[in-house]
Amino acid sequence: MSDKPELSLEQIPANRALVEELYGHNLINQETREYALDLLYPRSKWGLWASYFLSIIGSALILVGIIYFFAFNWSKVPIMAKFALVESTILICLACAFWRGIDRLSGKLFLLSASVLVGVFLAVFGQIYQTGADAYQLFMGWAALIFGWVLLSQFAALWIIWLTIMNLFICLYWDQAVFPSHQSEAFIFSILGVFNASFLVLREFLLYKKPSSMNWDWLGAVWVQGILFLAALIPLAIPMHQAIWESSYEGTLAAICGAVLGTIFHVLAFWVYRFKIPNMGALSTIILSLCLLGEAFFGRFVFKSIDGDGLSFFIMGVITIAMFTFAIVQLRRIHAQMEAENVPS
Amino acid sequence: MSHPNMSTSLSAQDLLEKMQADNAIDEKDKSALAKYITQSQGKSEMPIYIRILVGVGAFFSSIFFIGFLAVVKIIDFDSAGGLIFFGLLFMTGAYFLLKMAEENDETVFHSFMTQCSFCSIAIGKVFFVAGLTTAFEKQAMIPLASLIVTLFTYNLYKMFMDRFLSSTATLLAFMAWIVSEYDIRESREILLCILFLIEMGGASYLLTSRKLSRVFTPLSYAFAFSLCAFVWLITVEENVFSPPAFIFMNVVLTVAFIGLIGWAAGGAEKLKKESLLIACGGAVILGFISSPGILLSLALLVVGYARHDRILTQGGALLLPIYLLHYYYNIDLTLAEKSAVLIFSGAVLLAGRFYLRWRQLDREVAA
Repeated sequence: MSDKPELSLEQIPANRALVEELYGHNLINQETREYALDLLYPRSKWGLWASYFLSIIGSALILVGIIYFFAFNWSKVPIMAKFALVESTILICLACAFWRGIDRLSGKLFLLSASVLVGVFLAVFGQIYQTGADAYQLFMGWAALIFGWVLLSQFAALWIIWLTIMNLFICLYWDQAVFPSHQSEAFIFSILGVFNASFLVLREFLLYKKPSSMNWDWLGAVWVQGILFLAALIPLAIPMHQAIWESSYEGTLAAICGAVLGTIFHVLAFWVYRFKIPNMGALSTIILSLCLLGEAFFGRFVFKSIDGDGLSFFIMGVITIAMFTFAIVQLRRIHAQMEAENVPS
Repeated sequence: MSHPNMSTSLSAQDLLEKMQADNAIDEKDKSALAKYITQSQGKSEMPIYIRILVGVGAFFSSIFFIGFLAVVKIIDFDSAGGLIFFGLLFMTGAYFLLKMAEENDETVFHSFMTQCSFCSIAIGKVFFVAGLTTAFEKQAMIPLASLIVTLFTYNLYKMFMDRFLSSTATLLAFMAWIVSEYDIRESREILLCILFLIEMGGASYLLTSRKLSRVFTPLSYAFAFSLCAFVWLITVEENVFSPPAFIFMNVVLTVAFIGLIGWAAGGAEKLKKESLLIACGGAVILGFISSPGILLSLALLVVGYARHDRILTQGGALLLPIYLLHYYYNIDLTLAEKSAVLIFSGAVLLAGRFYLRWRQLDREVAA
C-alpha cells in the first residue's frame, strides 16, 4: 500500500491504466472501455493510419525489390548501367527527401531509402571491381557514408538501421580482422553491449534532459527504447551466463570483464529506470534477467553439489518460487510507488 | 522530469463527466465508478510485465517439482488413476492457495501464495492430462483432456495467465493431434479446415464483441495466438495443406477481413463509403494474390488499432514483415520477375497512399 495522501477525483489523472483498471474489475464493458480510450487517445483517423501504413510498406517493398534486382541480376546488366541505376536512384531519393523535407514522414522515408541504397552501391562496387575487401569493410563504409544523413534525419527507424549496420560491422571486424584467441573471444559481447548501451544512454539523455532547444520527441517511441535496451542487455547478459555455466570460461579476462560489465549494466539500469526515468517495462526486464541468472547460478551449484537428483529438483523448485516471489514483491512495491508518483506503466 | 508517454490532461472527474454526457455511462454508473476510483488509489492490478514474471517463475518451478516427483517416485507415472488423482489434488490445492492469496492482497504472503498456486495448477493440469491419456491410450485424449480441464478451471481459477495458457494449449493440442494422427491428406485437411473455421469464428466473436467482460480477454488472446500458430504451420510446413485448402483459408480470411473493416467502421452499412469500398477492394485483391499470413497480420493490426489493444497491434506489426518475407521468398517466379513483382506491389501501395492524399481521405475522421 502506498503512503501517498488520498487525492480527490479532480486530482486523479485519467489515463490508460485507470481505464484498464475499471475494465479489469468488470466495472465497464469493452464498448465503454474503447469509448474512454478514444477520449483519452483519439485514434479515429483511419485514413491517416492507412496512409502511413501504405507509405511504409510500399517503400519497404520497392527497396527490397531493388536490392533483390541487384543481388541476383548484376551479371546480366552492363557495368555502367548498374552504377547509373543505383546512383541515380540514390540521387532521386535524396532530391525527393529535400523536396518533401525531413520533418515529414515521406521525406524521412526517402532519406532512409537513399541510405539503404548506399549499401547496395557498395555491394555492386565491390562485385564489379573485385576489391577483395573483407565484408566488414562494406559495412564500415556504409555506416560511415550515411552517418551524416542519419544525424540530420531525426528519424528513429534510420538510427536503428544504422546501429544494425554498425553491429554487423563490429561482429565481422572482430571475426575477420582481430582474429580473437580463446582467451579474448568473449570480448565481443562486452564491446557490442557497451556500444549499444551508449546509444541507450544518449537517447535517455537527449529525451529527458533536452540539452538544446531541438525537438527530441522523435526518440520517444517505446519500441526505440525497447530495441536499444535489449540490444545492450542481451550481449551483456551472455558473458554472465557463460561465466556461470561454462567452466572453460572461468578465469579468462574476457569472461571476467563481460561479467563485471554485465553486472554494472544491470545495477545502473535498475537505478536509472527506478529513480531517474521510472519505467516498469525496463525494470521488469532487468528483474527477469536477474532471475534467469539466479536460476543458472543456483542450478549449477545445487545440481553439482547435492547428491540425489530428487532433492536437487526439490531444492531448485523451492529456490525458484522464493526468488520469483521476492522479485514480484519488489516489482509490485515499485509499481505502487510509481503509481503514487503518477508514472505511466 | 517529463514523461513523453503521458498524453492525457483529463482528470478522472473530466473523463466520467464526458462519458456521462455522451451516454456511455449513466448517473448510477458514474457514482459507482467515482467511488471505486477514489477508494482504489494505489491498488491497481498487476501490469502485464509482472504477470509474465509470475508465469516464468511458475513454469520453471513446476518443471523442477515434476522432476522431483518423477525421480523420487512418489507418484507412479504409469498409473492413470494415480496421475488423475494427484492432478485433481494439485488443482484443488492451487484453488485454495489462490483463495488464501486473495485474502491477503498486497503482501509478501500474497505473492508467495500466488506463485505456489500457479505452480500447483500447472503440475495438476499436466498430471490430469497425462493420466487421462494413459487411461485411454489414445492421442486424442490429450486435446480432449486439456479441453475438459480448461472448461472446468476457467471460471474457478481466476488467473489471467493460467486462463490464457490453458486455452492456448488446448487449441494447439487439437491442431497437433490432427497433424500427427491423420496420415491421409484429405481427411487431415478437412479436419484442419473445420478447426480453422472454429478458431476463426471464436476469435472474430471474442475480439469484436464489445459487450463481453474482461473474463474472456485471455480466451480471445488464446484464439488469436492459436490462429497465428495455425497459419504459421501451414505457411512453413508446405506439405500440410494442398492448394484448394489454401484457397479456402484465404477466402475465409478475406471475408473475415472485410467484416472486420465493416465492424471497425461502425457497421456494415458504412461499407458503402468510398474509402471503405476501396479498403474492401484491396482486401479482395489481397485475398486473390497473397498468403493467409499476410491477411491475418493485417487483420490483427486493424483489430488491435480499433480496440486500442497494443498486444494485438504489436503482434500484427511483428508478424507482417515475417509473412511478407516468406511470401515473396517462396513465390514461384524467377529472381528477375520476383524483384519486378516486389517493386510493382510497392508502387501499388504507394499509389494507394497518393490516392488517399489526392482525395483527402487521409484527413477524414471515421465514424
